[in-house]
Amino acid sequence: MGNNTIGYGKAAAIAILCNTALVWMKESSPAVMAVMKATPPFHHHWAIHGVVVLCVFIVLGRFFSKRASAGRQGTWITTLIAICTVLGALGIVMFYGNEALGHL
Amino acid sequence: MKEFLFLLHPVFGALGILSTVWLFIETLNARAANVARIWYAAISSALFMIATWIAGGYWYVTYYATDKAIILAGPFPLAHTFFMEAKEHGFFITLILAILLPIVVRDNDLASNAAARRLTLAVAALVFLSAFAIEGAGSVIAMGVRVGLMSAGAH
Repeated sequence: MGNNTIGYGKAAAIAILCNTALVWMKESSPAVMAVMKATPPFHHHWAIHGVVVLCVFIVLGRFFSKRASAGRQGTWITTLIAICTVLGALGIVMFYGNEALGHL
Repeated sequence: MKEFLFLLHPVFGALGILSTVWLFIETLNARAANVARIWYAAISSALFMIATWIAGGYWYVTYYATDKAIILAGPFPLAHTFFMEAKEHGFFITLILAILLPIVVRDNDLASNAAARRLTLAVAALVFLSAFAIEGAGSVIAMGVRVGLMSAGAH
């Protein structure tokens, strides 16, 4: 595996979990939500949310790529990304499922 | 114009899904002869998902408030409280994975590297499965608006 694959693969796994953590934080904390809504240039929580997650992916990807050693860590990066994707998606679905059913 | 914008993001999303399925099939048959096609499929997948984000984001931020009010006043509020909320935040997972695809394809020789091939196949599968789920959620949200309008009309 190339350095960029390892670096951006790890960064993708972390960014996916950050995405879910940010959902929990902003939906549970009015203060966090207010800051995200007030942040320029979009002044919209979802737009800022996307930019934050993408920045985490790009910045960590560059950071990890410079420190990765090519030819190692072949298979576990696939497992890591798959596990983080499933956990991240379940975290979002279960959170909003719980919120929505609670308001029915 | 509004109708055109509304159609744009599901169309880009569908094209992103098609590109990712194309990448999956090309990767299953990876060899020196189709390296260029693998790259075109991977970059198409990423670019269409980025276009989906921009088009869908613009529509969501600018126009969705009206639909949201109709859905919440109607008989199926779950269309917003669950399906829209999960869709709009779950999309970022699909976006990140789609952007990862051309990085992996560019960084490895898929014809000779079985581990990189498996990674590409796994990520491509996660992209098109999650994108299909998001397209499905979009249909449920549209239905939520429709039943909300029907309910308002009945009153």
